[in-house]
Amino acid sequence: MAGPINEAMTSERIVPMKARRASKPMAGPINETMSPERIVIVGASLAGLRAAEALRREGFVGHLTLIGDEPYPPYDRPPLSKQVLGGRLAVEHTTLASFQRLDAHWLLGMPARRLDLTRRRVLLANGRAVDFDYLLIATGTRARPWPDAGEAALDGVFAVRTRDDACKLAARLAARPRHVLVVGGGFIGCEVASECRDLGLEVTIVERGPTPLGGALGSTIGQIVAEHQRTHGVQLRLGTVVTTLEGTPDNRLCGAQLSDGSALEADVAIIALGAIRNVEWLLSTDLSVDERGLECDTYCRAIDSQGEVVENVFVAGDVARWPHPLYAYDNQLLAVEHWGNAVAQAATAAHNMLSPSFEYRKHTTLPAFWSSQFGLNIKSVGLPTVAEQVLITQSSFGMRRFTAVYGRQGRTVAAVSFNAGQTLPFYHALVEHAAPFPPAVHAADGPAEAQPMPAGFPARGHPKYDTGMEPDTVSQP
Amino acid sequence: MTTTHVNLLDQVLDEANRADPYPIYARMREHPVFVQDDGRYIVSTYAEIRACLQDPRFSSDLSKSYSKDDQQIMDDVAEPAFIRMDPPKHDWMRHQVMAEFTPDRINGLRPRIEDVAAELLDAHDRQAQLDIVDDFAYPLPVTVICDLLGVPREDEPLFHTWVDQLLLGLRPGQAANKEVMQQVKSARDQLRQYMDTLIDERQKTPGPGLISDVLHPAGREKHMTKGELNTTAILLLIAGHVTTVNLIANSMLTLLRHPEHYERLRREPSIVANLVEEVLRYEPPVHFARRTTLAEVPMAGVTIPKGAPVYLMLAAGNRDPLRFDEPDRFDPERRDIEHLGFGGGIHYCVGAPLARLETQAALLELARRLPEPRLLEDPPPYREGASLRGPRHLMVSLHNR
Repeated sequence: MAGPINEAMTSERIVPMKARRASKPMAGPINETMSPERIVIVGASLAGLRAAEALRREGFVGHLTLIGDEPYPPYDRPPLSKQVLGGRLAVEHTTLASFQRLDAHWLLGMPARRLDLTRRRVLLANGRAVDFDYLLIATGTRARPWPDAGEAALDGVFAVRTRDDACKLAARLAARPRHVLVVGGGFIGCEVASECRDLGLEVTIVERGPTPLGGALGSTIGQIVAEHQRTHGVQLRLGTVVTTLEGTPDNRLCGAQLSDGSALEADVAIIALGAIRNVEWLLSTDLSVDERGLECDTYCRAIDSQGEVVENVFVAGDVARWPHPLYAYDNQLLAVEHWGNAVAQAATAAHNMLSPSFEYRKHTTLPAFWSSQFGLNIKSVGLPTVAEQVLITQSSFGMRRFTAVYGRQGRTVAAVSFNAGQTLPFYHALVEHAAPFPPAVHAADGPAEAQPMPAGFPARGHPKYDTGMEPDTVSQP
Repeated sequence: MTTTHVNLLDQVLDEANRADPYPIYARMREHPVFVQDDGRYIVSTYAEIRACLQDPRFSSDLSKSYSKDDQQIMDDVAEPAFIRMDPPKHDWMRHQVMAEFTPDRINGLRPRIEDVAAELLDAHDRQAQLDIVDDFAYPLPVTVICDLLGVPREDEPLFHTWVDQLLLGLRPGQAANKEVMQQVKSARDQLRQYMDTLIDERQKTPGPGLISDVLHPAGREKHMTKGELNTTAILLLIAGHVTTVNLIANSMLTLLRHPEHYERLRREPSIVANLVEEVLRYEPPVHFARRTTLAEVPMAGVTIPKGAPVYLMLAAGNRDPLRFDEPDRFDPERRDIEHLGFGGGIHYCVGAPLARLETQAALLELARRLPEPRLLEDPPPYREGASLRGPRHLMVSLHNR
C-alpha cells in the first residue's frame, strides 16, 4: 500500500483516483489521430494550472492529473517578493484563481522522482506510479541555496521562492531585524531590498557585478538603478561577493565576510542567487536535459538525446529550453523565467497535445517581464541579455521615466521601460520585426541625437542567454 | 499607394449623419489609412488606430502640424492643456493631476454619486415624462466634477454657456469661421478669468477639492504655475463632464433601443460593469481623436508625411470586424472587449475610472427607479459635436409609475 496520500484541491471536490486499468507495458506508438485518455501534468504551479485549464477549454474530457511537490494548490509567485513581505497581502490570497472547471485529480505535496517513458508512468517520492498517455513537464525551478549547508542552516538565513519562504521571511521582517543583508542584486534581491526599505529596515545588497540588475538589463541601465537605490537608502556593495555567513554559538546569523576582506553585521540574510531547474527526476531518461533545462521544439514537444521529438511528452514554463525564431543565433536555445512565458507556453503545449500536427501552434511569444521596486515600474520586452548596445530613446522627469532599446548587430532585440509602460507596445513591434538598430524613433521626448552606449552585459562567468543559470557555486575570487 | 477618398470625414461631420455615422465608418475601414483630397489623413481600423495611439511619432501638439487649421487652433490657445502636449512636459503635467486622482479619492465619491443620482430622480418623481439628458445625465457629472475640483456647484449656469461656446470651436473646419472663433475666444477668456479668481481664493484659503490640493501639495518638488493650473482645471472641468453626459445618455439610448437588456439590468445589476464597457465600444462618447506626425510614418501601405493632420476614428475602430465578432451587435455580455472608448497610450483618459463609476451608478439608479421607460423620439436630437457625440435630449415617457 502506498503511504498516506496528501491530497489537496483548489476549490473542487476531491475525486478519488479510480483503480487503474492494468497498465500497458511497452504501449504502442502514440496515434495522434486518437485523443489521449490520460494526461498527467507534473508541476502544479502557474504553467501547470494554465495548461490544465487550456486542456479542458479545448475539450479534453479524459483523466487529468496534476502532480506538485508543494502542499499548496497553485499560487502566484510575483507577490511573494513584494506585497507579501511588506504585509500588504496575506499569503493565502496568492492562490491562483482557476478560470475553468478542471475536474482534475490533484497529487500535491508529492514530488515526482522518476519518469519511465517506456511504460509511460511517473514515479512519485512515495513509491506510487501514475500512468499517462500524454505528459506535460512543468516542474519549473527552485531557489539556488547558499552553497555551505551549515551556514545556510543558520537562523536568519532565508530564500524567497515559495509560499513558506515568504511567510517565514515576512514574519522575521515584521520583527524588525537590525540589518538585512541581501546576497545577490538580481530582480528578487532588489525587490526584497525595496520592501525592506519600505519597512524602514537597514539593507545592504552585495552583488558580484558592477551594478544591480546588471545580469538582466546590463550595467549601463544598471547604473541608473544603482543611483536610484542609493537615494532610497540602500547600501550597495558592488563587485563583491559574500564569502562566509557567520553565526553565533547558538547558530544565529550575526554577519558576513565579504570578498574584499571586509565584514558586515547582519541578523537577516536573504539568498537571492537565482534559480536551479527542477530536472533531477528526468536525468535517468533519454530526454535532452541538463542543468540548463529540458529541451523542446517550438511546438513544446520534448526532444530526446538523439534530437528526435518525443511525441507524447510536452514541456512548458521555467524548465523549458526551446529555439525562439528571433533569438536562434548559433543554434542556441532560449530559456526564460518569466510569468508571461509560463502562461503562454502552457496554453500552446496544451493546444498541441490535443491537436493533429497540422494544427500545431508555435510558441513564439516574445519574452517579457516586469518588476516593481523602489517606486519604479520596470517592464521589458525582448531579450536584453543578447545585446551589445543600449540607447535611451525617450525620457522625462529627469531619468525617473524613460525607455531604452537594446541592439545586437544592427538589429533591435529588446526594450525596457522605467515608469513608462505605455510606451512599450510600440517597441514590442520594433523587436518583433527586428527593426534596424539604432531605431529612428523621433519621439518628442527623445534625445537630439541617437547615442548608443555599450549595454554592459558581463562577458564571462554569466550565461549569454538569461537562462537564470549561474555557476553552481558562488564564485570565490 | 495612397488612396484618396473624397471627404468621408465631411460626411461624418455633417449633422445629417449624426444619428448614424456607422455606415460611413464602414466605408472608411475599406482603407485602414487614407488621405482625403483636402489633405487630412484618416485612420479607421482597430489595429492601426492602436498602433498610432502607442507610437511616439504621433504627436498631440497640433502646432507641429503643417495644416493651417491645426496651427490656428493652437495659436488661439494661450497655454495648451496636457491633452494637447507631448512628453516630456505632458508627462509632468499629467502626473500632477494623476497624483491627486487616486483610487481612494475616486472610490470615495461613490456614496455622493449615488445620492445625487437618487436626488435627481426624486426631483422628477411625479412627472410622466423625463429628459434623461437635462434632468439627469447632465446634472449628475457636473455636480460630481464640481465636488472633485472644488468648483462651486452654483456657478454652473455661468460656465455652462462658456463651455458650450468653447466646444463649438473644437469642430473641425471652424478655424476659418471668424465669427465662431471670436465667440470661442471670448468664452475662453471669461472661463480663464473665472478660474483665475477661483484659484486666487483657494491660494489664500485652502478648501476642499483638487484645485486647492494642487496649490497646497504635500511635499511635491515643483508646483504648476498659476497659468498651468488654470488650463488644467478648465480641462478637467470640461472633460470631466461633457464626455460623461454623453456616455450616460448613449448608454440609456442603447438600453431603450434594447429593452430586453434594460430588463436584464433591472434583474441582474451585476452586469452593469460589462454593459458600460460594451457601450464604450458600441456608442463611445468620443468618436475621434486628433494627432499630427513628428516624422514620416509608413502605415498600412500609406506613407503619412511629417506634420500631417491625422484623424484617429476611435468609434470606427470599435466596430472593426477584424477585431470584434459581430461588431454591430450590442452585446452586454461580450468578453473580448478591449475597446478604444477611452483612447490609449500615454493620453489614455485620466478620468476613465470616474466615468465608469458615474455611469454604472447612473444606470443602476435609472434601472431601479424607472420600470418601463419608452423612448419618445428615435433618433433623438443630437448635439452638434461629431466627436463629442451624444443626444441633446432624450425624452422618455414613464406611464407605469
